[in-house]
Amino acid sequence: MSLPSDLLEQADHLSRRERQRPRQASLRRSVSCSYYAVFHLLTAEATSHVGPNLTLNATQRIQRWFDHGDMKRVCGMFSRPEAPRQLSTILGGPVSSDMQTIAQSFIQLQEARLDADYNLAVTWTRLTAQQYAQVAKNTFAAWTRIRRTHESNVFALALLSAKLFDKER
Amino acid sequence: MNPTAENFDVDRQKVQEILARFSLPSEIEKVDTEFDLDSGGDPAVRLTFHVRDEAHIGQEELERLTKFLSEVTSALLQGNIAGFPYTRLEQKV
Repeated sequence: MSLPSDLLEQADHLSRRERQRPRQASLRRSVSCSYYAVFHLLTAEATSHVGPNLTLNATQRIQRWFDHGDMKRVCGMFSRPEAPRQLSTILGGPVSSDMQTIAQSFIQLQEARLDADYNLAVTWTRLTAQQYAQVAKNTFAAWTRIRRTHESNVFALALLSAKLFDKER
Repeated sequence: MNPTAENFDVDRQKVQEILARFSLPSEIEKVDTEFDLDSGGDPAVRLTFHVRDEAHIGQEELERLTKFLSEVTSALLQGNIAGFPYTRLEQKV
């Protein structure tokens, strides 16, 4: 099993860990795992898209270049059918439904993870943690369907070099 | 009124109009909306879908409700609301 898949399994496990009265710690870690499952899936896949012949050492170093805030901004561009002009000229068409799902889910999960890790004013319910684990599962499925497309290549490039997509060139 | 507050007012109306196009799944008893900023300081619309206490939510129901929330999210984004729609299921059990 890969790290993203292991994290996805852990998110599901933690959301169901206590049969009754789930602990807040379990639910919060579950939500965090859901986000990191998707984060590591996308950074690993984007790196292999951009540099398919990189050594393992280089791949692991490059995976640390990804910035959470930049990734959120890029996902914002892919979250609606009509991408901003600087992106649509390269995409050559509307954003697919699967790509919108991936982009929307990443933004949702990132915000949820920040709440889960830092916002003690929020009380989590089991269903909310299960919802985010399901969102992560749906993201994996959507990525599997489009990972060999032109669109996923453009997405990978944008995740790694977000600033290049900030304005039209 | 600052630009963010104006955006919130426009969003509030759009969100109500878009939500009205959907039939809520039987497990949902009400929807709360809150307009504020997300952790990155960007406008956000937080929608909490409250699930009835007595509703049984197994894997099938979870998949269906998550798909419903995804459809609502897409509709809101295509409705060009200023804030990103953050959706959340809650059940007090």
